[in-house]
Amino acid sequence: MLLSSFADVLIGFISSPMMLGLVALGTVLGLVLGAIPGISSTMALAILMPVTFTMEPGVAILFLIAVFMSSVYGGSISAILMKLPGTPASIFTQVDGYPMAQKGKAGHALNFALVASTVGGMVGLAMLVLLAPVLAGFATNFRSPEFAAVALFGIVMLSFASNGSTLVASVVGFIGVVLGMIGFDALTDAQRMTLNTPVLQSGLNLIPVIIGLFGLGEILQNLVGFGGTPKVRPQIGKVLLPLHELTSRWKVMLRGSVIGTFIGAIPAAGSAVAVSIAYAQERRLSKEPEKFGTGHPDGLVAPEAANSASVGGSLIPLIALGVPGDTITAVLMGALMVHGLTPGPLLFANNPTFVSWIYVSVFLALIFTLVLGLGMIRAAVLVTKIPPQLMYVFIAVFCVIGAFAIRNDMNDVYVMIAFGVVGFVFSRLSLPVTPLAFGLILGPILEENLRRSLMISRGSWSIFLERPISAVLIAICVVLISLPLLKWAWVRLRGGSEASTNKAT
Amino acid sequence: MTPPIDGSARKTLAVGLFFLLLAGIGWLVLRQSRNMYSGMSMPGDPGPFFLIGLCLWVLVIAGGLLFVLGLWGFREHGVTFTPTYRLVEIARAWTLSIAFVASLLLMPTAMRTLGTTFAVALFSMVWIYGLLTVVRGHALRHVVEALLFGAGAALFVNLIFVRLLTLPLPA
Repeated sequence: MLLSSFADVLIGFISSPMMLGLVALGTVLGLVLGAIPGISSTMALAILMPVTFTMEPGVAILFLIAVFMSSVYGGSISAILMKLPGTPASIFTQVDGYPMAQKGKAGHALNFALVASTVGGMVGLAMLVLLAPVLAGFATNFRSPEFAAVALFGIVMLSFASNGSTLVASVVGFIGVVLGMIGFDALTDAQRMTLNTPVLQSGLNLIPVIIGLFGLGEILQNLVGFGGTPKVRPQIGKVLLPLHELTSRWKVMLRGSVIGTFIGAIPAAGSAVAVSIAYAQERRLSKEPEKFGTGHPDGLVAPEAANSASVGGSLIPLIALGVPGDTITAVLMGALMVHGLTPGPLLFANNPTFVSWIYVSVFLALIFTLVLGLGMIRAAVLVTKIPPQLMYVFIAVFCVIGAFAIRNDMNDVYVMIAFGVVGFVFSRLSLPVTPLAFGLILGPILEENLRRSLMISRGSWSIFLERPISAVLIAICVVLISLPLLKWAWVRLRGGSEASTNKAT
Repeated sequence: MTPPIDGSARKTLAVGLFFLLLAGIGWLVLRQSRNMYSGMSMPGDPGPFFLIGLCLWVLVIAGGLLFVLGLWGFREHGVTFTPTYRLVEIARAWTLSIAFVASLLLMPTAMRTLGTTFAVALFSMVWIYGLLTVVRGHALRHVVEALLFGAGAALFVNLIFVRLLTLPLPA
């Protein structure tokens, strides 16, 4: 059933030159944008989203997935050639990729990264196809308490995975929840935080907020102490690799892919966590761990496979539960919602063809990334030479037009600029921005299901503890939030006991 | 105890104050919303302002805690004043970002009065020239580059967004 639907959609795609052209365009744009230092996959997706507003939902998602998948590999290009990761998930790619480029093997390094990325992506896709329906089937038994707990779990998990303090990141998530509740309340028609202004009555639109936070915010951050890019002239060298060099690393690729998929599937764990675990694991298992960091291909292949596989993993909670796995899938969720599609268990029941459409889009995006990426290896050097001043200006223009285009409303442009400033201020204060966007998306889901649950139970909070899934998720949230406090108390206690022992001796 | 934000007492204190400021603004706006509301809630429903209030309480507690931890950090490590030249350097580093935001705030007005294509051309030319000058200093070549790329950006927006995608951008 699933395979025949997959095959039908795939044949439909292949027989349409327009669709193939769109995937190719999305792939090239993703590769180019991902390769430019300072432009993350999230930013690439956010600024290209407005282009899809006039497209059919399926076509729009196809284009955005092509941008998404190819930008993941694109981020590795600047990491290998210039030691400047295009995306946060490429941090470990530079560790062994850049030394390879310095030895004149940049072509080989890019080839290793591309093949590992494709293999990882395919493993991630296979896991997505296998696990998402199972999880979605399980989630059809979810009622309001479970959905409220899942939304809370998503916010807290993201905070836990963010850099810095979990407590602070959770608080940022709760600021996002407040922002998500601005506007009319669906249950009582009350105006909330609107200041009685028409602009705020329909609430904050997600797209201008996302474009502001991840597009303009990053530009403003990059403009602080702006001085252009360092002049690095990488040499590509030979491009094609001997086949045995690739085939002999199948175990490394598979290990990285499995780690990437499972870490990516944990809501909010993210690809950056996946690549760091994959790299550490590979180094631990390697017979020559001392060569890691000096240009060892295994140190490049493992994180690249994990990086790409985590994309498929992060799509699992998005499609099955309606909870984005990371920032990029949060933007993708926004795009789906703009086109009138709500991801979650009901998507499988109501629109199974669309689910197959997503699978095929990922599959085609991977194939196109492999083919076009291989063809573009020599051109990659040119991409890294695009002056950032041009990119920042063009992206700012995209941000303005994109924010306007969502509702043809100039107020959305002001909202976008305001959130650009918010993103900038947050990064100056070392506060994570992603929980804010997560809170904004998950806040309304949390509130609606929380209140509905309490109405069912006539105001009794025990409803969340009576149902096993919500009880477990809430317990995990409590543990995660209180973990820093428990750790602090443990350190103090140990310090105290050690001090008293020293005193006694 | 190490201050939780980057291990810096100054930053922890700033974040604490920032959270308290946000909570204060939030409470004021929420009070106005509550005053405007006269409806009834369903039995068991904690009401439309419950979760907002709860989040704002979390913000107050976290802000207060960080503020205290920041002060504690100052007490433990001592207060160090930033020299004036360093403050000037910070302000200079921020100038481009502030000017960028200011010019973006003018964009909607420019789009309405000049039309999107001309507004984009003007914005792009000024900023490309400005950033080129920051990196490489003033040169006539940069003016030409800025004019070319600015015109290119405007042409791209006109062709793709106005003509191909037919977005109703101000003409």
